[in-house]
Amino acid sequence: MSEYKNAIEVENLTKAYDGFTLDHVSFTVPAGSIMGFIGQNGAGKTTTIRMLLNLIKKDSGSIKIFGLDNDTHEREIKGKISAVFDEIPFHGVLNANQVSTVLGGVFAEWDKQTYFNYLDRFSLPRKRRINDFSKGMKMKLQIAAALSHGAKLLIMDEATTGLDPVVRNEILDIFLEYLQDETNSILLSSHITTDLEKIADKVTFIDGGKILLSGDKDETVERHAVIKCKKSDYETIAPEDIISARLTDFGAEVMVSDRAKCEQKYKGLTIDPTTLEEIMLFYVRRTKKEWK
Amino acid sequence: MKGLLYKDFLLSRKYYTAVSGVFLMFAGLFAMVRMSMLWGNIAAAPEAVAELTGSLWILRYVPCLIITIAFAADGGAVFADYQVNWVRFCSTTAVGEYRTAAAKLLSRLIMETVGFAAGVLYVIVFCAIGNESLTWGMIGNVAICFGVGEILGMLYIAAGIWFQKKQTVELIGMAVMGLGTMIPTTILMINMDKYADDAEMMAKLFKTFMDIKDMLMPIVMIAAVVLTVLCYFAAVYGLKRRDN
Repeated sequence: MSEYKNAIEVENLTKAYDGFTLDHVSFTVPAGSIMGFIGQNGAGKTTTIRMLLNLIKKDSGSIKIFGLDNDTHEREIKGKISAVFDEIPFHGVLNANQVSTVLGGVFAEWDKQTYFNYLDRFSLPRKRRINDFSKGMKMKLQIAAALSHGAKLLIMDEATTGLDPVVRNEILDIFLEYLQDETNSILLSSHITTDLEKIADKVTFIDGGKILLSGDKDETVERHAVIKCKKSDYETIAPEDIISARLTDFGAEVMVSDRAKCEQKYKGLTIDPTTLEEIMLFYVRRTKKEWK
Repeated sequence: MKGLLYKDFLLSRKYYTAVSGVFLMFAGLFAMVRMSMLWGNIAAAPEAVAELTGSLWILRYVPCLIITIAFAADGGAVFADYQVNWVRFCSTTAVGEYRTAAAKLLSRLIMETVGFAAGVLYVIVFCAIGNESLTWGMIGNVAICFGVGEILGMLYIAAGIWFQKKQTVELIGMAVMGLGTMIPTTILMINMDKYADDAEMMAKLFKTFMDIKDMLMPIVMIAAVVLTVLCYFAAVYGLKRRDN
């Protein structure tokens, strides 16, 4: 596998289902970075990830992983990636020791020592059946397995959903360690934006099958802002500056996409920094413009 | 491949143990009948010995058939793979559909071979009890059981991967087995009035079985090999299917 600049390059990816279309999705995950893939349920995150993994056929567009086409170099690519889903793919009657033996025969570069180190670190029992594990333990086991065969790219689909904050934090720390090797990359799909706020370098926001935002996370958060104002002041804000506005009994909260410009333009108004969660919330309601 | 084989064995080991238990039970039962015919209560009644000798010649292969067919019918591992999304997991690795399918079929072939070996061992013991010499024909009869088990096992796996539902595959299995027994039973029923009594019918059946037995073995073996290859490609194709 030669040198590559981007771990993932997706260009104009489309897929049409009855009632849902993934519409010319494009984004890149630079090598050595962690990309947060956010969007509400049904936005198209899982469909995109399944196409990245070649689990479903794309209608058109191109996907390159490690600079290689994911159709023609499928095996080569899959030898170097790990996919983690929200449900553990290991049989409940097996224990962690047996999982190691099984995966040792599945992955050419299976590192038993790394796997057992993760098990110890996560305090996972080696001989207890997976069926008796909690959801958090199952996810930790899946992540331990995903990180123990030299994968250069982790693709996680809602892997942290349903986990308590303590377990999520533990897992996020592991991801940050994994990224110490600058050739490793992560695509983390989630609708828990607080997790991504903590660790993501880049963020891509998908809604209704379309990419709304894709770029540097800090820059995206800093560029957006929420203007908190009275209803009378809200009337003075130019519609083209507004993503959407939440109207309350006391006034309005208006999401704008160009903070610097708005700070110049609306000097008398309070312009607050925002969060990924708020950006997602206001963008999802962009078609209504005003909501309560 | 090694890991996939190990996983399938781990998932099915309880089933294999249970089947082995049933095999041993039946093997013991037929061995006891044989011993009774030689030295026990049955030996005291020569007409009973005469009556049993013919039927026992065929019936003694029942344990061999039980172990090979029961090993074939274990589709549990296939369905469990779909239940826990193991198949999807494999699709995200470099394992590939060819190796996944090969491992599935190979694990069944290994168990069928174990069943064959157990069957041969049983026939050896059975012969030793009666001081009967072991013939290639007897090994051939066990090989027929192995072939039948192999055919069913391969069909079971391919159908499991195609339909992914245990009930559907079991229904197909029952239909195949039902047809397999219904056809000869129907022929037998139609010809029933041609025989003077049961003994004549059994003698005729035995003769027919002996006539076709030598022909049956190559047919079953060829069918097993052809179906193994066909089922392998059907399984690969089934695993390669992508959602549209």
